[in-house]
Amino acid sequence: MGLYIVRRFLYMIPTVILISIVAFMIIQLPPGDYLSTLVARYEAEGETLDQEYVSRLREIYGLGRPVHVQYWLWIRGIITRGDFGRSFAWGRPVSALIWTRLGLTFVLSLTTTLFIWIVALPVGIYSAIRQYTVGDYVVTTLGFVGLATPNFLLALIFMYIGFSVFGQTVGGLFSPEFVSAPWSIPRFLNMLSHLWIPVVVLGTAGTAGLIRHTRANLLDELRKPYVVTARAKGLPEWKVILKYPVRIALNFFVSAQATILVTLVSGAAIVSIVLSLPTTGPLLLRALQSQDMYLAASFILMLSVMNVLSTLISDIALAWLDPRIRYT
Amino acid sequence: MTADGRNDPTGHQSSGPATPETGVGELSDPDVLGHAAPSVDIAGGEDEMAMLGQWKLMWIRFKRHRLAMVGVVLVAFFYFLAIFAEFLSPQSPHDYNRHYPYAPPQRLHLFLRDGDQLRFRPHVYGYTSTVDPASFRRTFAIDDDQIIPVRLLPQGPEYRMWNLIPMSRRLFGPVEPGAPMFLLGADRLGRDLLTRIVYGARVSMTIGLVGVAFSLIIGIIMGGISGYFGGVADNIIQRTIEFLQSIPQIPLWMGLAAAIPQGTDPLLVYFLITVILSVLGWTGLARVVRGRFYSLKTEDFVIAARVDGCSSLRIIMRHMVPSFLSHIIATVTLAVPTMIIAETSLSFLGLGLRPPVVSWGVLLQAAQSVQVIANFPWLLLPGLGVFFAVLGFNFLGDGLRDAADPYATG
Amino acid sequence: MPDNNLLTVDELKTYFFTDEGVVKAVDGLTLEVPRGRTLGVVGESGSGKSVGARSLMQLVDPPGRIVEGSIMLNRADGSTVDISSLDPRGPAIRAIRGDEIAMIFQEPMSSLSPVHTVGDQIGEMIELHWGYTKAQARDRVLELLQQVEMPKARGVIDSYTFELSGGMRQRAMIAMGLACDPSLLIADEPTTALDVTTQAVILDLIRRLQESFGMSVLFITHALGVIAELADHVAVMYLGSVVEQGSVMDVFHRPQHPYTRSLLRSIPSLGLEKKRRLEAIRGMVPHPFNRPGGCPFHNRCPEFMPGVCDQLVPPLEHLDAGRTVRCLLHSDVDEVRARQEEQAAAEREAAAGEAAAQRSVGKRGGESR
Repeated sequence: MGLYIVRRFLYMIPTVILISIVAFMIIQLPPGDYLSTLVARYEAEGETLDQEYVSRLREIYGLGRPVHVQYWLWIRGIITRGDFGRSFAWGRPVSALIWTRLGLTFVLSLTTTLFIWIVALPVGIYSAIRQYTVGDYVVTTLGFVGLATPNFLLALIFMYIGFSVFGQTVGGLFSPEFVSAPWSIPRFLNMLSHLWIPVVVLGTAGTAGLIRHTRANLLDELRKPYVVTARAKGLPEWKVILKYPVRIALNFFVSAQATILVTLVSGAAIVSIVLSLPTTGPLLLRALQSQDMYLAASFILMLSVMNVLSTLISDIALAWLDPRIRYT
Repeated sequence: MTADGRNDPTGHQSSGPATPETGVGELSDPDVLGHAAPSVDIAGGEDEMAMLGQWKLMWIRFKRHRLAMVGVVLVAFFYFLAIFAEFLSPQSPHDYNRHYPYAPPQRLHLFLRDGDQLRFRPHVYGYTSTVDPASFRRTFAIDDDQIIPVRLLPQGPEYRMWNLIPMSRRLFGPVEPGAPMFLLGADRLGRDLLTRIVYGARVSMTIGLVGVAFSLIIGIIMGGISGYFGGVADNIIQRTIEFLQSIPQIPLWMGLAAAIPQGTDPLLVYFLITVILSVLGWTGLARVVRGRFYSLKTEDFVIAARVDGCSSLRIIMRHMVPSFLSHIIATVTLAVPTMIIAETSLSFLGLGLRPPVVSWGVLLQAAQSVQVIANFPWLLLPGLGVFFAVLGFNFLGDGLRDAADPYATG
Repeated sequence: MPDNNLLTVDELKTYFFTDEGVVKAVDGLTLEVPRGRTLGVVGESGSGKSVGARSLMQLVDPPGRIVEGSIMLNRADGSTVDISSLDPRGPAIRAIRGDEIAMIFQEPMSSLSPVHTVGDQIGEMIELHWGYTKAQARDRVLELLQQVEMPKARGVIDSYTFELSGGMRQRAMIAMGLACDPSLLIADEPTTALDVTTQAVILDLIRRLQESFGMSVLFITHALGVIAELADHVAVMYLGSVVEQGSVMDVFHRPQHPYTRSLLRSIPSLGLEKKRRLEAIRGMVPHPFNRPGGCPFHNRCPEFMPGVCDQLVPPLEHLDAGRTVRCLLHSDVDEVRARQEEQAAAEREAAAGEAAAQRSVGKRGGESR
């Protein structure tokens, strides 16, 4: 088991390196860079920027150098000093901008995962055991509806309902008085009271998907011969189902977690933009649009690392649950 | 072949409810043999009847799947809209009317009270507008006194069907050309939302297909190599897939889409977006194909073909692909809605398709702020298009999958 | 007679109600399982032997269910219970399962849970039925594993099934079957999934265990050779019913039913008539939906009597003690015809009376699947 974890952990390192390269490359894709865009914008407005100032900035940010040198400087900064470079648009170090937002993205994704588990597991089991009953049909229908609604559309609908029915805006993670307050228990509670809307918006599709997944897998397991064996032992029906097929379907459930977290982190970006949450999404969008390369690349890198880590955790959980993986 | 016929290469269930021995499994079960034998013929492509047998069985199961039938209707409806958008919509998508920005939806009335009796006179009511002196915001009210008659096949400005056939009649519209008829309301520039949703179907419904087609080509090639040859190639491709899937897709798409320069030709943007969607889209398909190859590789009929000295390409194309084609079709159908949602989301963020292209995502872009939604909620209507199209594809794909393999897991 | 029989199955019918129609998997199964003896049930695939065996423990999954007949279990204390009348999910049948009647299955790999240890899966029965603690159960499991001659029993108890070989898995399965000292052990083709040498070893093990435990064994197989080696009595099944039953010697040497005769002629034997060609039975087992009327074997039977076998359902005829056959060659055809016509007339009358009510019920049943 320990060996397995170590192996999976080592496995992660090349992936992260590759991701960092890809993240950096993506940012280089659009023609020009932040400064040339800036200069062009000034010129369009009939102003000129001091050439010397521009070339000095170019020097500071290493923009004139070849891409691989820029990458090397950036990645070295991250590894040695935790320095992700500077954001052009904000004029501040990237590390000063990303951590709280990443933290909130993490909190949002984690809460949503919990929400999905709490809803999807029991509902999925119910739906499979009571296949073709009214309850199963209701669950299946709701599942389809949940899957067919894009996250952002659901967010818009929530916003509309919040505004027209309750007369309040549902965006943000904090009430106005807490937005820039330091962390405290009231601020945390305030966040929780706002968090449920993005959690529901973000979790709906995942819940629907996981319910279908759990149901399908459990139905599959319920047909396996070992279920008959368990019945033939004389075990009560609830124990037959919980101890054997549900336990094995749990493996699928856990292995589905990796995919779910990936879609959550990624879905959180767009939901946050719509609901204007102070998470990574809105800032990433702006950074991409203005070619604020270090900021954008750092976001993509860190979100990917979050994904890789969550995959790792779910793999370890799976190995812990399933002896077939643990022993091979 | 396992006890329950799961690995039956034709994918049809051979001993399920029909034979009482399900789950017990009998190696010499004549029923299994009776069904498995034609599957070998299918692979050989020699027996046309046996081929028919597989698809016919699938069709029988598919027809019984009620949700799938709903899916067929929904999907067919949207493609019908997409194909005949010019004729079906009352206006041209770029016709704007500066007198009616954000005009609210009108109700279509079929009967007109004429004295004591009701006459069949389809019509809508016109608007009266007032401009708020403080905010300069124009507000509309439906005016019962202005009756705008509506008819089928009215004469209107000339347009070209599919950019080819000159026509002047559309399916329905106001009798008098240019009279305000906004059944689903108007947007900021006074363009008819109904028209734009119908036209939006054209882009949104095809971008999924094109994206899936790209993904499918890459997916089958990569998955095929991975599953058939295994070894190093398999390892490399699997690591690549894992790697691509570890990057959060929306940020990745956002990053790639942001790289498309402003002012790029709309057609090229359309093409590039499909390519971007396929960057991740193929990974899922490749996994399915690989899995199928893996399980088929050890099937007797494939081994037999190999012993006979068939080339790899021939074994793949003639023997293996036909036996899992139905699964691929089902998987592809289930991949289309993901693409539709992805396009809509990207365009909504302003990173995907851009005006003047009309897609559901582009239309929803107009509904980004609370103020706009609160005042003009009809701008959310293109979302219904997305919803029903995705629902239709999911129903359809589910039905296909169940028909192709009743025991597949979700 | 019944005193000597542990289990008496009479006219058992288990039908599957599928969308495509009703599959009569077991249709009039009549069996007697003698106490402390081995009864072999032999039949081609699709003859309903597995479903029949599962019916004995009420283990048939929906849409299948027992529709008619009785399964009388005669306990050692003289009491009798009809298993077919018990609720398939009720506590009464659960108390019988695993404790009085145990079952071992064809595929030990898929019939055992891949994520629980062998010890856990066997021990839980002992805890359940005998109220043992975990530690007591563990000792018993170890003892059982040694009785089934499991190599390295001490290690196996904490192993998972994927770590064991096919033969070891089947030994574990057998240990599970014996866990609570059942009075009847049903073995559903326990050696089919094993290779030939392991088959022989496992068969030998089952025979020795039967002797030392003194239980009855119901052994299901499609191999006549296995029956000859293992069983005291044999029941030959065809399309859901027993066509012939009797002692192995008797049935094999004096087969009374044309099907049994055909079966016996289709096995190769060493050294006997050298030039004899093996005979195959004409045709195929009919599809469950196309069951022939009359005697289900009539369209493959070499002794088919036109106008008789395709019209009359052969009744069960008792030849000697414990020797039965279901063939019209052994029945008084005129009497059978008279009786069945009378019965059909009575049924028609009853059906006409209930027609209206039946139709509405049938319709509703058809809609909810």
